[in-house]
Amino acid sequence: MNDCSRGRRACLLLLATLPLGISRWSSSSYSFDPHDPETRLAQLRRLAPEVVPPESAARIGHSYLESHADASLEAGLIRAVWPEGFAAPAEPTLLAPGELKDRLAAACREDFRHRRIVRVSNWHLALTEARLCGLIAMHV
Amino acid sequence: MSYLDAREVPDGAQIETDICIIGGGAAGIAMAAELLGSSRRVILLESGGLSLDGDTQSLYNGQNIGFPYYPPVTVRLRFLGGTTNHWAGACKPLDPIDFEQRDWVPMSGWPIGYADLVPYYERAHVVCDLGPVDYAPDSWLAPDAQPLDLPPETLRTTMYQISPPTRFAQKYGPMLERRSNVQTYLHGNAITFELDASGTAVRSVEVACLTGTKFCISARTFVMAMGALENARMLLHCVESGNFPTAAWQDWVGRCFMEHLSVVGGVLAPADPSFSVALYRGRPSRDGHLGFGVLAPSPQAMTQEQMLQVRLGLTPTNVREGVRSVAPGLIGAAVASQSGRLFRELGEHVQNIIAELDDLAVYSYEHMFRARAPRSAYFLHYILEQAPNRDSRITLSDATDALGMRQLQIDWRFDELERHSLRRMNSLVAAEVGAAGIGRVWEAPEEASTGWPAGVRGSWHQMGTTRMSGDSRDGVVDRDCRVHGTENLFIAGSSVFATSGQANPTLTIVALALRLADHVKGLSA
Repeated sequence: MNDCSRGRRACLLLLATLPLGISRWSSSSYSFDPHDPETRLAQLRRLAPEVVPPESAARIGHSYLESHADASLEAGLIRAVWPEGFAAPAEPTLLAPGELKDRLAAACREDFRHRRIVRVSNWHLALTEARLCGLIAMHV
Repeated sequence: MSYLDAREVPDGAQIETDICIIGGGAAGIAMAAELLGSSRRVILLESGGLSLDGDTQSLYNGQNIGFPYYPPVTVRLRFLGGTTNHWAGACKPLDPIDFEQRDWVPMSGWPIGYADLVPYYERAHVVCDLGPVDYAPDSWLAPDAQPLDLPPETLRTTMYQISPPTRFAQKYGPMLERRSNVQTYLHGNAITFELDASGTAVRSVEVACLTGTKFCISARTFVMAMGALENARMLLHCVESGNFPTAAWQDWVGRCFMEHLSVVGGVLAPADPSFSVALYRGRPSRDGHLGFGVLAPSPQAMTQEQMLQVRLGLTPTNVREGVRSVAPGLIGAAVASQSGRLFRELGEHVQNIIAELDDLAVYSYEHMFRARAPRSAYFLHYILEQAPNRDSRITLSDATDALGMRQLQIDWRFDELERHSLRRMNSLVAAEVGAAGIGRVWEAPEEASTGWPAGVRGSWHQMGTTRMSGDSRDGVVDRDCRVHGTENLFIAGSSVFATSGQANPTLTIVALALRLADHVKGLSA
């Protein structure tokens, strides 16, 4: 196994631990409308590197983007983390990284359950986690 | 009474008996033991002696002309007890679906059903020193040994039981020596059958020894129990010699040669470092019987995915290498001390059994070294059913053995259905372990030259070369294991399997042998 695949595997293992991990809270705050897609996307961009190691995720993300034409990457990610029902008035203004992790993990499980699975470098990944890596790849 | 030596029988002698069983492996010994004490005279004819002998073993020589397979001389043991002299002991009955006709599996379906074998599986458990006929995981559960939390309608956990393993010659040989109604001849090789004038009844079998002695055994009933390769080889020899009148079943002899495909299809990276697969790695049940769990697709999933039977074992990625590094020395020494005539291929074969039957190998490794290696990831080791395929077959080559019989050649073939089944199983596992939050699956890449992941190979389970069928146009033996159109020639062993399932074949071989013994006893009565 070369360094590249070792790093990728380390990242995948971390992705796989999403349901278990406890992450640091970012003290950053946002001044946008919490229901606005751009605000949500900004939150994802900001927090994603805190829930997955950005370098390895970016590598996976590049592989994903090279092999999959995903026109719904950002919109799909937003839908995964803020599915219908979360848009209620009680929706918190900002997500803590732990909450983001939980939501991503739940979205990944739903992806697997409904067979929304993509193969990236022979790994079977949930569409949501592949998109998350893709998002990181676009911004790292 | 002790064993008889065929080499000491006068040349040209004619021996008479009621039942002649040819082959002293699991099937032959199980039958002979079942017939002990009956009113019928039984001869058990074994090619080898009581231990490994190179000249006799060489009678297994042959060639491979299909997908790469083991040298034929290395895949079975030719002395009393047969391959039970070094089998690992993994046992499981076939599943009910294995006996059924499946629309997506060509030539599937047996002329008997699972229910027909249930009472014989129970008796076979006793023969193989297993626990109760119970393959649900409950008896093996412990706080640290739980089944993976996967939906059973897709992937079920089922158990294998592990025989001590029973060495049939050691356990049942002394009984065969002592009783008067069973005579065991060693060092005698069945060469050909002589039929009566009608061509439907075998009158006698010609026996040849490596010393040059030849004699005949006449019997009312003959049972071929020489293993899937040799049963086919001898029948092919008889058919080509014109011993039998032409019949439809003869075209099936040697065809539908099946194996269990063994392949590492990927890697499971668990999310939780403390992830436990103890149930799948070999452990004692509450009543002390050893077993190990496997994952297998449910019948619904197989039907929905149009896939063959598959079982999945989980092997820590690093322990396998450890086994590989220690096995050659240990096993090489064991073989050398046992026979005094170590030949290389056999040594490699035994090493492979230890190294590649990972569930058992890892279990024995951990018990031997009292150590469990860190488990960062797990190989997904699949054992796949092979669909019956007429072109996957045993034929005779032009080369001859020391007795003048043509050697066998193996043309092992499998096709898209097996590949489809592996891919679907990988996808099912990836989806379900992902949905359960257990981890992620990496799928081994397929090689361009074969379309399979590297290292696909057989499991030393030869099956199907004299398949069972309801109609003589579709196979070699009928539901009673009698060769179609004959009155008194029967076949025991995995060569009669119409399909192979995913279960190791020995338990079913023994169950079918006990069933055949009952049938033969009925005939005799």
